[in-house]
Amino acid sequence: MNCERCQIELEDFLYGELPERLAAEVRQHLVGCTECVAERDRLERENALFMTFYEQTAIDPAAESWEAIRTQIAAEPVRQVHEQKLGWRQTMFGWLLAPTLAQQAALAILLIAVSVGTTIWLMRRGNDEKQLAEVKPSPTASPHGAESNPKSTETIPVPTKDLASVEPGKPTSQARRELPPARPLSDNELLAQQLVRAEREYQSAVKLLDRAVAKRRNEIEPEAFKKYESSLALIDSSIAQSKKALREFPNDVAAGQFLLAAYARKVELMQEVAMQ
Amino acid sequence: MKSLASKLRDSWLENLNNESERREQREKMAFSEIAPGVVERAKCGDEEAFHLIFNRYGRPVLSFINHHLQNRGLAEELAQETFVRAYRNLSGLKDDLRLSTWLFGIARNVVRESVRQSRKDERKVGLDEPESLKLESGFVLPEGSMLDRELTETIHKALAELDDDKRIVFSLKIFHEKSYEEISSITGHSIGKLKTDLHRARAEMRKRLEPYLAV
Repeated sequence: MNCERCQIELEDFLYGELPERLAAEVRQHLVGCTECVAERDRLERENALFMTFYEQTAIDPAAESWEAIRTQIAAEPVRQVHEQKLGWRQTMFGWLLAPTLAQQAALAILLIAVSVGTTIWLMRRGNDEKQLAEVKPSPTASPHGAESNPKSTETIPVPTKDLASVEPGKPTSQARRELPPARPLSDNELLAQQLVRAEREYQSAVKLLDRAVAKRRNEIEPEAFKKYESSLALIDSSIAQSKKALREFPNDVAAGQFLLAAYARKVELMQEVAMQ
Repeated sequence: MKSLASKLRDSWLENLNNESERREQREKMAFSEIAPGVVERAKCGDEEAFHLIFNRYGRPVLSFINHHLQNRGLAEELAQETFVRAYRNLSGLKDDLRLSTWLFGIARNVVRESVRQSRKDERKVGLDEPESLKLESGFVLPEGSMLDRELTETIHKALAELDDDKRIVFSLKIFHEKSYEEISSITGHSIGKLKTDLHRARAEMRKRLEPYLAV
């Protein structure tokens, strides 16, 4: 680096604005150049003078300034902007006019309703058959699951004991590799698989709704938001308890039902907040 | 054994490194002076949290405006307007860490509107004097001031005679130690223009302050 280039870069060098490589070149040049060192010292003296000037002339707001600001912001209605009266069209079709994220969440909820409905139906059916079997034991396990849902054999035969420990969204590819080719699923395995799937879908909806709620957060009254957060914490604790029960008793249909009910409540609550 | 020259060189290099570290530290401190969550609380309408923001940034924002207009009364008024606008639009602040840059941006708009308005008013009464020159005596030096009064007045005058763009970039860079990137988001100007303006501003200031800067 020559002196001309060094002096062009000196100001930015002192501001700390040079990329490291260029700064190193300037540093290197300054080591052996008295002329550029003198220029650097001059700039530093100027900076010191300006900083002293600033320190001595900077002023604090007058004591009454905050009161004046406070009076003005106290009258601000901005935090309740979205609580205006809605027309009948907005009331009926408001969710369609809601932000895209909320629409995606609404669609996700519709989709999971179908999947969860199937799971619950299977659970009830499983219960009924279990009761029947207690009265009239059947020699073979029903293969209906695999036949009624051909796709299920392609995916994961979740081992019953791992029902609640399977991480949603992750097991598919790994489990595919471990999959024995064409073993029909037992009722419990099918149930477990449906539960994992429903849980995964609920979690996707929760994620979407979470983003929708985050977007609306500034419009929600702080008090209402606190209530929402504490309700959410209660539901999350129910979810955790149901999962724990499922880990301990993987064939416990009631624990599965509790888990799905808790997820349903969570989605419902988040939906209320995200789309109101 | 190291020579005296190489020791001096090492210590000088160390000082330079420390300078950049100090700068980094200052930036971090500027962010951390507002406790985490305060901006978020203020966004939810928490007046107490907004008061904390005012306490932290009232002085730099007011000083920025005052250095631009050199009129304390008007600067107080415009600083208040800046914070009221900030409160109204807080939900539009995307990155809480950029709060100070965002506030300076609002202050800059408020000042610009005020200057524009006063120029219109001046034209109405047949005056065509720049606001900054008309109001140049707005500073009061604190007691026990370390800078000579005459020098302070000279810096004020030199600042007032810079054009608006140069004065703003000079103030944000030298007094408030903002990065080019931050100044660019405050003013909307390209970094190239900012560098040119700053270099010219420094040259103009140097010319006026030459007698005081001689070693």
